[in-house]
Amino acid sequence: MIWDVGQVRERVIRLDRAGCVRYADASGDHNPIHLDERAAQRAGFESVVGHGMWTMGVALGILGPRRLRVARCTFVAPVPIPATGHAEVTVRATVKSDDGDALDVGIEVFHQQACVAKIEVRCDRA
Amino acid sequence: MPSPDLSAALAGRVWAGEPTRVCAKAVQAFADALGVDGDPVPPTWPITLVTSLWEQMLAEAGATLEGVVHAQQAFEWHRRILVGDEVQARLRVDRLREREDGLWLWTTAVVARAEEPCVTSTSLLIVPRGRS
Repeated sequence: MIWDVGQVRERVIRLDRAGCVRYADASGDHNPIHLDERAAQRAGFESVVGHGMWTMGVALGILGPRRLRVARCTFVAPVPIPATGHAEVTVRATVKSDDGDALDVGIEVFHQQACVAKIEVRCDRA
Repeated sequence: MPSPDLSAALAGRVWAGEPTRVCAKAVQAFADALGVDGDPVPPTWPITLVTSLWEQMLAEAGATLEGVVHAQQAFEWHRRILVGDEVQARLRVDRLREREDGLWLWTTAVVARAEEPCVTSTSLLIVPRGRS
């Protein structure tokens, strides 16, 4: 799929507590800050927070099945996951450059208008 | 606290995971948890192998993943991992720094198939004070 320089793609994704449990089980990361309210508060968070790697994995999903070469992600802020309902994050990806061989894509993830993760990716063009 | 003890236990160390067969069911469960396709294998799937080495690393130093903050993560993909491959992860601690908020740990892990690297994963973990 052609993706031109400057073109933005955006996707909204929801994460709830059940999703945290599913990601913990599937990834083997059972850090209790992602699963247990008290453990999260002991660690200084307001509530259970999503796995950073969940955010990164979901965000890279916006690139589809194209082969990725390099990705560098900074987890800027945790994503609190409410006890009921869900947290909504917006993934916004922009092609920064295209050298005819590979794309450089900047991805930002937002939760309640604040950036929670930034990823710089180099990937195949299609 | 993440203390001279923890630093001393981890500095310059290397850990190797067991050779592991990439299982379709486990990959699909991982993909489903992300809401992405399971084919090809999701690019961040190798973190599952790295996480278990982090646990091993921390356990040896008398610590756990509890409260550990994942601050940065990079991957460099060299070749695709396929379902059915036998892969093995190796982890090393590159750098340790005591900071206000805890011990900053930079690690690099390489996941290889038949000794050929498939992906290199570099991470910054922060082990908070008072948790180890």
